Amino acid sequence: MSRMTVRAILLEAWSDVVTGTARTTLFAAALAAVVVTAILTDVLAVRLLAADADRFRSSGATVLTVQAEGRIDGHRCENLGRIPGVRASGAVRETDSRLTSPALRGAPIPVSEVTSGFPRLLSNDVDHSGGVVLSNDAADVFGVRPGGVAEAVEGRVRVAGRYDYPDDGRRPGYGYRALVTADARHSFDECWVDAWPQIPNLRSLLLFTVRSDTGADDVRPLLGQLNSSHGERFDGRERFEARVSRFAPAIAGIVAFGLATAAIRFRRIQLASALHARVPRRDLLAVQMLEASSWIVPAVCVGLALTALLAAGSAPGDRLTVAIIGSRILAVAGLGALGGTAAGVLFTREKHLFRYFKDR
Amino acid sequence: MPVIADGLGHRFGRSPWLFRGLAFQLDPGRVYALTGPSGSGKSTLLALLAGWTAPSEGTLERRDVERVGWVFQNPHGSPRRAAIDHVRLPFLARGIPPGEAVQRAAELIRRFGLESVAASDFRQLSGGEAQRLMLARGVAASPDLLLVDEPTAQLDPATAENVNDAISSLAAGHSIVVVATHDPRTRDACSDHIDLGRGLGR
Repeated sequence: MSRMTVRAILLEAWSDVVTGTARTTLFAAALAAVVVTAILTDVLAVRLLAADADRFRSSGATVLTVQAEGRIDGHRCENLGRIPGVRASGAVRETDSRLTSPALRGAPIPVSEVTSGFPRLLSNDVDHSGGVVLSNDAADVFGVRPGGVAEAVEGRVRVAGRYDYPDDGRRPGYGYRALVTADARHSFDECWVDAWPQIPNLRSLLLFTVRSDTGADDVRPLLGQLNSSHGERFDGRERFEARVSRFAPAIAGIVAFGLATAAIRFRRIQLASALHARVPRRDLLAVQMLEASSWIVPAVCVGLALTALLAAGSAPGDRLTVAIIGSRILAVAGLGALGGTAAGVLFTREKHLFRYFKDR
Repeated sequence: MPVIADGLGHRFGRSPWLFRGLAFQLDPGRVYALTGPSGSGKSTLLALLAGWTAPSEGTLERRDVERVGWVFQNPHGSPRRAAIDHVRLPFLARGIPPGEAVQRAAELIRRFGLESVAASDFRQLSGGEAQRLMLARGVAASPDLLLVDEPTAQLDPATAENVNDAISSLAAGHSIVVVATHDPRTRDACSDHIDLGRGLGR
């Protein structure tokens, strides 16, 4: 069986595209709408999930605590910070000291002693040149910025940093407080540790920071969470895998398949007529694949541009996820459209033309 | 590669015979008009010739007839493609390079009197022009047997005349052409005549 020359195949496809026979603009717009909708839906769902995760994390819900008055080993607590995945850890104890502003003598600021890693649990912006770390409310009383000097009734003290401690469900007591670093060899009242993503056995590891040689073993250490108002765990992976929009690629692929079969169906008589004019089916398939590419490629380019825009506008850690979401949808939709075209051509029969004859 | 019918008869189930005892030989290069009143079995005989249906009685021998082409009474084409593209396609389909395919299509376009509309979109053609274009395309596909079904049924007499002229020029090729028609002028444009009431005549 003879077959069309490559130039003839290209010529036929080109002629159908430039004359509007292939309905390139219509189907490119339709497929672009499908992939744009699918990408926006899934990326939005993932962004909402990421926002939930951020809210969970910034609320202090990921900070686990163990309380055992005077029995926390500062060193062991600090060492938890070396565990892979642990962001910060540190021990804290109450003192009787106060820091008093001359302007607000009636509201002295309670002072806690902490190990050197503790301030990082509350703020990423603490310098290590020594000094006191103040909560925002406490810092405002002195009207001082990090690096400045607070003029307290008790004496002058350098401010190494400040931290935010909003009333968002987290444990009260640290919104108006000063933290000063103490030697980790001492005993402390609590150990705090923060890990993100959460580490399942971190609670049991916290218990290892409690000394057993203090003669107070009958008092059980108290495990807790800095902010329990959002629940104990953030099941990010499960929620990601269970999101409704996870079907976006499959739906985009099915709709693209349907669009392509519709494109062929509209022209079934023309294609049946081409078969009757002795165009080999494989050549008809090649021509139709090229014509389908004329609307698939622009739609995929629109989707790629959207994906690039969304990725650029995402947090650095989420860019790869957005790129994968967009690419997957585009790949499935593109293949769906090509598959629909192939199926449409393969199911076109010369006999569709003969209905003209038989139906009359 | 003649087509030979002997004692050919057909009917559907137990219904009355559409025709019986039909005997004829169809030869390449000739154009056969197939006539008869409505319900005499013209369409059925075309279907038998195409090999779609087996005859109820008799034999229909189709020696070396591999390709059967059809031209229907309703012209169909790609509305936005040029007229000549429709005739070029059967040549391209056989592996003929585009340049030569256009030349050969242009020859057929001339033969069927369509030079003035060769570059026009199919949708711009009149009914008669579209029908002649379908005949040109049918010839371009170079079938062994070309079956033409009521080519002037939808046309006014003046337009039909042009189509009948085109039919008379079908005889030049190597194909066997059979034209089912009610139109006496179409019948007269053919080289031979099968009357389903009477058999083969001239």
